[in-house]
Amino acid sequence: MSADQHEQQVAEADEGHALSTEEWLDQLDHEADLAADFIEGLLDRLDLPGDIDIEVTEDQAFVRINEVGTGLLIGRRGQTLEALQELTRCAVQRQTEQRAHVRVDVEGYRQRHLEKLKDKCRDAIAEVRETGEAVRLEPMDAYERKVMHGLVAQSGGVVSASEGADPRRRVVIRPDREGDED
Amino acid sequence: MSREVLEYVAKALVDQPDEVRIRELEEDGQPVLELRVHPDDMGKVIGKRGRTAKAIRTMVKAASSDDDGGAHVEIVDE
Repeated sequence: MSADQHEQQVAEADEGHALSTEEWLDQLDHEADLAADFIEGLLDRLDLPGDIDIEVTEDQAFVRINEVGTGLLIGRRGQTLEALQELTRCAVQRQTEQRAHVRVDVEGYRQRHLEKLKDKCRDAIAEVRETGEAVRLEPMDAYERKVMHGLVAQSGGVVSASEGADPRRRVVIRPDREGDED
Repeated sequence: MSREVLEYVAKALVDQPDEVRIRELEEDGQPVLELRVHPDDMGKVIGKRGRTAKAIRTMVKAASSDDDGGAHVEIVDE
């Protein structure tokens, strides 16, 4: 099976799920446990210390690694952390055969990045309201885009959509013209 | 250390971990880690548009930065 077919199968399995809230949270718990196990083993092989925290919310499992004592797992411009996220996702998906909803962070790096993106998004919302022109945000991953859509949805007078293909997919914010189809 | 990291990661990604093979060699004086997996698992270590392979290389490079200056991972298709 090719990687693309595998991805597609995983995506379809995700859309097909009709779990109760409890089953869904159990699934996220399970994903977080698998992710934490994978990361623990990896830290071992890297000969790094680290505290691993798990948090499960209604739509996401968070695995946070702290006290690593080095930027090695973050890397230049977060590229090693990106790799860690991808490998963790793949390791979890291999076992669950479902799209994983695990988000990995090291020393709060991605949380800080997300806060910056939220600031830029608020600025963009203000700009759209002022100028009436659409504003495109920078490319983001699925979770980040979801947070931005949430911010836009909370603000009146603007709407948002995603455009383009991963990894260049980005959120576009437009003025909300009621009855205007576009 | 980079070999252990590669082996651990590769085995976590594939359905047939017993088929994971790693060979250490040198090409033009540079350390190379050759990775072989079961043919059915190739997609798992390469990923969509090579995303997983790229992540493996980045992680192995991070692991090796202090001892051997960054081993390059080659995924061998046979």
